[in-house]
Amino acid sequence: MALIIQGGVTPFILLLVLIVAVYYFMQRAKGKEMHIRRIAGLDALDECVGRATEMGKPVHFIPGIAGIEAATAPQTLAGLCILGHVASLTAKSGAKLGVSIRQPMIMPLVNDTIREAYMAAGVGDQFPGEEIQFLGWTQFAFTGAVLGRLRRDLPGANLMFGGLYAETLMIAETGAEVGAMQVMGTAAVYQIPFLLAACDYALSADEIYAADAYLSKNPVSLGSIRGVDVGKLFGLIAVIIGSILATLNIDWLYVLLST
Amino acid sequence: MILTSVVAAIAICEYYLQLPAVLTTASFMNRTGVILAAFFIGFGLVNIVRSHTRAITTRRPKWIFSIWLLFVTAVTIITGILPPVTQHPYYQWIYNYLFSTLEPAVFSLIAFFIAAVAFRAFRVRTWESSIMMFFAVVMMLRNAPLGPALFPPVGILGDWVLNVPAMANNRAVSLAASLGIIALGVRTLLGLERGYLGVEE
Repeated sequence: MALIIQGGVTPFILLLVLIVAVYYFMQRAKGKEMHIRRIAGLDALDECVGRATEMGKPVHFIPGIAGIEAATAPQTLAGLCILGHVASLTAKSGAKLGVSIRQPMIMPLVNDTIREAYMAAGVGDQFPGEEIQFLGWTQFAFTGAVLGRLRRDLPGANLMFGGLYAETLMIAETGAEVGAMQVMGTAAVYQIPFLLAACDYALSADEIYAADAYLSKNPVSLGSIRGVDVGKLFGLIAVIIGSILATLNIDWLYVLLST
Repeated sequence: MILTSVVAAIAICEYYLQLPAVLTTASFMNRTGVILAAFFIGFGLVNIVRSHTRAITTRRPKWIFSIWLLFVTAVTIITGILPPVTQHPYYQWIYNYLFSTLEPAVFSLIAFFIAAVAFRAFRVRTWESSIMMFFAVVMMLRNAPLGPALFPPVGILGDWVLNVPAMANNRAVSLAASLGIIALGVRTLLGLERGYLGVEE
């Protein structure tokens, strides 16, 4: 019996090479100043929380509707990282933070994230435990509950980061109707156009995965983004070469990548 | 961090390697995850009951609806537990005539929200928005049954838009997302991704 599954050799090797490349650039970035391009949506988080604080309105956050299963865990984790940053901002500014949750499995993570942020800011007694609510497990029961919450609470900022699906447009449009400033991001490709149409700022897939590194400004974490860019460069080269070879009816690259 | 690294290594190896020990361990991990997920549904129920009980006792605005929610929750749970479990006629009635119909009813509101967003966001101000509007009309006609019947080029152009530029864009975003996941994984395994712990550096 072969050790590696059929068709898995090249992808496995490429994965290992990419992991090594990311690690290499992270180590190279130690002690250096790293710069990546401005991500407007992440810069706008401060503005969102500040606006809500000035208006005396709460900040509403949804860490995606996906759970922490294998396929969706990265999006949820990215959403939780951004939630930690937003919780720090609300703890320092005094704005009320409300979180709506669809997957009960992430409730302990959300609670701990926000509690740590409030304790780090020295206002642990203001931890908004009552505003962290599990609203429903089925997708549109959750959506209906969120729409009601937006209409009742009238948040000054509506933020959604993580796994977002069909309910995205409904929540974003309702947030716009109640006058909330909205920043949203997901890796679900088919939802990104809805976010671009309905929100003030929208983040695409690789931007939400880079969020924690971008917000923390840690040079080693930013170095990992440099490693990802190298991977994208190789991907681009492979696409161009593969397109030319496919046009010439030469399939050795296809066979190599399918090994 | 060591535990995270070991679990991540097993999860990655399950996908590529055919070692019986790895496959058995990964299968056990997956079953454990399913059991934990089922447990956490009860956890969510406790949160709902606490939250709405507090809303009733403190007379928060619209607390009447909290009473209704708790009543419906209790009725659904009780009828679901009655023998035969989840097959009782009362529970089947609630599921078939309330739950199963409300879900698609809310889903169908998306059409109206799309119209509202389109009216608000799709404004022809620049040449880029003009091009986007043109192709938006082409795609709407292409998806309507009468569109290709009345204007055949709409179907051809719409199919080309879906299969070439839209597909290329989707694949590019998916590729970027996949690479970002790998970097996120490496940062998490090295303990550098700590935003979800609420720790600001």
